Amino acid sequence: MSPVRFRIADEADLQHATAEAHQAFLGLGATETQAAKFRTAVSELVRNILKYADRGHLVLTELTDGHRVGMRALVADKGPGIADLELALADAYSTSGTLGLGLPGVRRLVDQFHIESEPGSGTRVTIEVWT
Amino acid sequence: MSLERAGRLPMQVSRGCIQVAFPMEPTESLLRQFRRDLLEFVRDQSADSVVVDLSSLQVLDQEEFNSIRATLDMTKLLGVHVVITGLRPGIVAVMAELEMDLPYPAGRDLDHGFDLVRLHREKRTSR
Repeated sequence: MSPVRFRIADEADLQHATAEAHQAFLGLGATETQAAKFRTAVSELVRNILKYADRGHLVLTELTDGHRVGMRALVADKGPGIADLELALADAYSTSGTLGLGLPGVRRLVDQFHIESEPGSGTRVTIEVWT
Repeated sequence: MSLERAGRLPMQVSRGCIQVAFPMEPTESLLRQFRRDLLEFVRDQSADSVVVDLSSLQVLDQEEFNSIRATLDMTKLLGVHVVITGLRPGIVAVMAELEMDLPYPAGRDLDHGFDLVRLHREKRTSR
């Protein structure tokens, strides 16, 4: 499957994109638990676009290393960016007023997590999960 | 008695127990409306218990969890016994991983949920 891109601009986009991520991973043979974790992680990242950046996109890509299959989700926006990444990734921290189940939570749910953010330029988060 | 209108979660009450079932993908506005409706329905029906069926939920992210948790906490503060039912294994795994706690009695399904309500009532009347 070639990478699939989803535009994210409202809650309907969030629901559609996360449902597609869930189905795609299940389609690769993921268990219901693995797929639920992946979907939750994607949902958190996509919701951050709606909260902080207004719009952005998600790209889903199938992965294989010859032995296993997996999914990569790239979630990107051109919003305000994150001034202090270290702080944003610390448990129990979130600028939205809720406890730290955002980026730190996402990191716990996936196998690989990578984030790039530039204040004023936007944020790109890449996560990977394997069956 | 039942409450069922467009854009709202259907609720019904029988013998003082309100039953409400979540859809697969609740929106933010639906969750906000759910809070208002449930609190008012509890008051109007003088309910002593609520069984919230979460079996259709396929994902529960931070935002949704916080909203549902706050609504159930408020309902409990009205003196109502809250029971949740039907959480899927995938959601339970996410909740455990992220230390998201829903401190309410949990039933496997609706029948189990109603059993928990009945047991709670029996304990209360035997005191």
